[in-house]
Amino acid sequence: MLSVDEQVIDSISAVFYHLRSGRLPEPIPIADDLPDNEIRQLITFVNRFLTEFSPFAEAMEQIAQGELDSRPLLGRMTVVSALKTLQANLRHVTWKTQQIAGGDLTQRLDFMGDFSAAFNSMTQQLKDSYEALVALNKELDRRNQFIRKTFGRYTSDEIVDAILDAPDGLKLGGEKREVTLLMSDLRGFTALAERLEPTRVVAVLNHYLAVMVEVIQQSGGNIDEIIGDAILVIFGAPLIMNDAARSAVRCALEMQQAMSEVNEYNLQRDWPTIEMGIALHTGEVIVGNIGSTKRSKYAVVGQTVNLTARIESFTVGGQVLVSPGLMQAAGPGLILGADIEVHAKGMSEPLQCRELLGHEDFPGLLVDRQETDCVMLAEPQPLQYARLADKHLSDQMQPATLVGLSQRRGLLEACGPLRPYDNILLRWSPTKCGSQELELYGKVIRTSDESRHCYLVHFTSIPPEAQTCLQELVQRNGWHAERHSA
Amino acid sequence: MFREERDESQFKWNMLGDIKEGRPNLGPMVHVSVYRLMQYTLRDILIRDSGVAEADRIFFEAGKKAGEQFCENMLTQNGDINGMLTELERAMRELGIGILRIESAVPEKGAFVITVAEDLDCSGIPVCSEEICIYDEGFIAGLLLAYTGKDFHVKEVDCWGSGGRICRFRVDPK
Repeated sequence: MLSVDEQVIDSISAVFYHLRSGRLPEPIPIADDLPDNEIRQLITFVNRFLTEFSPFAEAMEQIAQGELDSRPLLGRMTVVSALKTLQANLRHVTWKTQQIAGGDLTQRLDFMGDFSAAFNSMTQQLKDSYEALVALNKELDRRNQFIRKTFGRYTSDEIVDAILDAPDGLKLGGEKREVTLLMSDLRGFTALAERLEPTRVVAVLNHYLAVMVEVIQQSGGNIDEIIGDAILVIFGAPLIMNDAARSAVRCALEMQQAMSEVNEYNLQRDWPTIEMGIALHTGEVIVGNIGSTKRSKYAVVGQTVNLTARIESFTVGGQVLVSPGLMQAAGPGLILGADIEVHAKGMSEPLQCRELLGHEDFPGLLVDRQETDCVMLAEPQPLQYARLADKHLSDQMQPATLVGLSQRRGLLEACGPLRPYDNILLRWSPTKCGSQELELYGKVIRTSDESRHCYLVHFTSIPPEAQTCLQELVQRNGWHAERHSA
Repeated sequence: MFREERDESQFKWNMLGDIKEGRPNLGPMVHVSVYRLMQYTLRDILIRDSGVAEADRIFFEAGKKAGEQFCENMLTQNGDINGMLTELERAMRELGIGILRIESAVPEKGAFVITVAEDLDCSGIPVCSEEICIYDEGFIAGLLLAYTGKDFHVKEVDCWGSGGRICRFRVDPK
């Protein structure tokens, strides 16, 4: 008959009491003299259970805290197997989540009951949302491309954003609207381009355009067109601007001011300096999406556009000409210079334009019109001249004499009458240049003496050799100066 | 084709035949017990005639061949290794091989821990203190070899046979 020591029963009871009380008891010591019978076997099993239970409890605690990398569990108790399965599943969920975070939204979790259903539903929603977002992005991109194609690549991001934000407010079908147009052009650039290496022409032009585009975009103007060295800017379309004329005035003054930066850059690279004329005009135009079904763009058409181009053709380098329409729209504050009559096709009366010198609100943006006085030459220079129409000779070459000279202007005694703003070609063979024939281009600024056919001419294009000769002439004739206001 | 003497493997995927044509009424599925009947009788005779080590080697090599062929013929093998494992998970579920779960994957170190629940080979077998999914070890090694071109050491550390409820495989580079 097996006799049981009460102390052994107490020890075993204490083990389970502690376990149920949430404590992990120490194994029960087995005395060496304890007989090898069922009691010893029972204590051994209890101790083995404690040995396996201890790491199991520790692993449970770790997993409860989200630490899934616990050391491998030993033992074959059902709870240990279940815990290992739970650990494996949690680690698998972690891996799945990492894959989803990495962009794989096709991941699914199977055979985990309600958790699988919830997880898969969440992933599906993520996938749907992502696909919806991608579709929206595509739509946005498509609209953006449409707007870029329609309004051109020079339309500023701000304008594109405003168009995208208010697509319903934008009428592309065509409407009449009052806008202010700015048209700029480099004076004498065609002749300059013929003298220079093509790569240099492009470099000069690209730098000039980069600077101007930046200025225009900051002013809120919408660049409608860049053709060669000419820029057409719209103020007041596609987005309505309450201060379109004033913004255009500021933009034109800033553009002229930026020319000194352009020329400084050019001089550093031994590139030629350039001059720009600008016209500003306010009037009614038709704006809309104009073109064929294959290619269309937002553009302006109408007499206002033609007139702006006409005014621009009357400008000389460094000048801004403004129309009466602009002056009225811009309101007070304009600082104006000389009157300039612009004759245009279909207009019975000339347009009374004015030279824009600045604006009272922008004192730092005055146009530099300080042309040095003409020096009367002790050695008048014989040359040939002819009037140009659309950059082509319209007359035979005629003899003339250059009697006065400043940095960019000359006094010319022609053999017949010339009109203000006639463009002329001058051929000059100075002895200093080995009698090599040099070509200069100029624009008649005003009549100096009608009876002598004497005119003040602004040189729009001077080749480097001619520039050197002209400078020498000015220096040599300096003390014979009979100054003539340029 | 099937019974020729050979020194090198001559297995080709087309040896599996056109099951659609061959089993128009019964279809491609077969009871798990039939699969196990073949595997365990084969293992039994192999152990009797060649010993446990040789039987294990043969099962591993056969599994490896199967894994390579499975990768080449059943997986698209596009994308990274995580993509391949996801595809394998789907394929194993659809074919009833088992529920593959990735516990951890560190592809740059070539270290993976993979579990298979409801494993075709062992789930539900009598507990015998043995990890017996040697064929699966070879299968995983073969898959990874075909996909990465590298040899891996694959060891089953938990198995239904050894008292677990899932099969866990630890994969390390060789």
